Amino acid sequence: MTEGISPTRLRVLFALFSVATLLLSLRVGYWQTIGRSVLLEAATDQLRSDLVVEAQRGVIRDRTGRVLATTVDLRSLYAIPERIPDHADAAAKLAPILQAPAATIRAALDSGAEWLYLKRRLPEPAARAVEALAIPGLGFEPEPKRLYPNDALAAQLLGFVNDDGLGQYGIEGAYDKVLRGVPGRLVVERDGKDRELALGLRTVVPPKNGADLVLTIDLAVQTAVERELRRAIEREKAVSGSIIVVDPRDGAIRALASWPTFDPARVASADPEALRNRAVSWTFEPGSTMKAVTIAAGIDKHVVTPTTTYDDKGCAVIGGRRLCNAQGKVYGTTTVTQILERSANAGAVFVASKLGQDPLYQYLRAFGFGAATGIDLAAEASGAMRPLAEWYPVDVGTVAYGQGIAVTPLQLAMAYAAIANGGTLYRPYVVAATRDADGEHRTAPAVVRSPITAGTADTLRTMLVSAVDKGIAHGASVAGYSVAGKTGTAQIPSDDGRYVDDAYISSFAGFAPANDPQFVAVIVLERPQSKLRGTVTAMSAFHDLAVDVLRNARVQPDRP
Amino acid sequence: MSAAICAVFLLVVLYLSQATAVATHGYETQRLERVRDELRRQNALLEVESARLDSPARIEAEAKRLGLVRAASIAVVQAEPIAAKR
Repeated sequence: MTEGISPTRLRVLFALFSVATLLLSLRVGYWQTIGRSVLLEAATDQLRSDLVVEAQRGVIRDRTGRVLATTVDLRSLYAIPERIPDHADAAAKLAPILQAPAATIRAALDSGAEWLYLKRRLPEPAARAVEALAIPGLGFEPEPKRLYPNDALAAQLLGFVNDDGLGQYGIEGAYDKVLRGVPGRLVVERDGKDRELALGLRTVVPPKNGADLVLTIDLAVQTAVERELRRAIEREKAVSGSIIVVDPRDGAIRALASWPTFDPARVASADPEALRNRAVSWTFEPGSTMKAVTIAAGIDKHVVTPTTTYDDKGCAVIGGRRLCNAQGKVYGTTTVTQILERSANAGAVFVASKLGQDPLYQYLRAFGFGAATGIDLAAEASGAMRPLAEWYPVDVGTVAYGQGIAVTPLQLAMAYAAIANGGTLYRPYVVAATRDADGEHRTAPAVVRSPITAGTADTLRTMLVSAVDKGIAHGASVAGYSVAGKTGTAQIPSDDGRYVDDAYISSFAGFAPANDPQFVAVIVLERPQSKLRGTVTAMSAFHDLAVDVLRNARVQPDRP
Repeated sequence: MSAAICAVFLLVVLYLSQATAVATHGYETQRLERVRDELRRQNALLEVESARLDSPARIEAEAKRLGLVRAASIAVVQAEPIAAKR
């Protein structure tokens, strides 16, 4: 065999094989020792999957447990174009289901992308319809979607969740950290078919799901509030409006609506102004609803009683300025109770003059005006009340009937709640409880202070009932129930410091049953088309709302 | 000696059968977990649909569509006088 090969050649071949073997041995030795970790890492990477396990966002419920917001995994449709046999046919079949032009879908499939989403978070019926087509190259991936079963109901109150899963505005924004939870982690080894290896590595850090929130909101009352607000806005072609319903016994917000509004499912197309919760973040000069507060201060300070009289000449002079009744009316001898019945500006000035600037200011502050209420919602406005040192002498008169002071609808509601409940100012709240893995944590009602005595509050309740029974607030009366309340018509200040001509803000603040108040409601309409008669619509809204709330709460009539 | 070899062989077979069974059950567990997750998802979707159908606003709109009107008055039965008569 070796006769034809020279010994020299054999030695060269042997040397070459020896060198090759040595080099290979060294290489193998290298990968087995120094390079081992690199190989191991690469091999493990092919097997191992390291996934973030998203936490389930908490559910938001109303006080009766009904779902207001929840998160569900919807299916997102993806495509691997090279596996789709006929792009044109697939696009034509998908177009009606995805409600998109076939040409757009075709263009996406022909774009050259290896993998792309055709539609994210499909409604379930559409996902099932696509599934039924059984087109090769199409698949689904679950993606979380925040759903609001009551559509636009309580939109500003609830807020929304953006595409990145972050809560924005309202409860979703204010309680985002509580609702969002903490993501977990799952590390497993998978086989070639992407199945988890039963005997492989498995490391699990479970996610901590977000807490559920139970609100103080009552869905039935909220529905009634939104209906009445929409009806009043449409009737008056008002620019904006809001309604708040508060439980005066603990400061719990039962309903809160704001107009203009938006649909949380279509936030992208919403008017930015519609995102604003006007009941909490918008301020206005309240007008005559403030007379109840002025008179409460006067009675509490013992400078007037309900039967104290003054001679109403139509106007009162204070600080060198004449402050007159609406429409120039002259009432003659008038009691303090009749000031509320007739909504006499001159009467409010009379009470404020007896009271004095400093006490009036202190009572207004005690009722919560000029400071945020501390409600657990973002972007609350604090209103505007100038420091006492900056008051002009005339201010004691104008502020007495609600001009020259700016309040939020919520502040006004809480002040009336203090009158309704016997003199206690509560901090309003919308989250009644949070429920997490540790159990339920209920929010305790928080007393802020007592601006007036229980006796004063009782007296005011009687006077406000008289304003409804015998006065201009009669439109708010409800058959079978005692109703207390006061209307408000205010001028609107312009940027130059003067008041806008012939434009008003109409409001009504009231509660029922007056003897045992179950709710306080404040209705505000900006620039109603009926101008001075906007309060009629506000009272009508209160009436219809009260009927629903009292019926819903099974409140027994307190009148024959 | 042969007995020992047989014993080792049986042990190896036992181990392999156990390992195979674990792997098979692992895959079955994963399949069942996927079924469970899908059922949970369907349940959540049904809860949303239930909440949507139960919405007072939707019921009001439906009642209006059917021509129903709101009750003009609230009838409340006082329990105490009735109980006192008995």
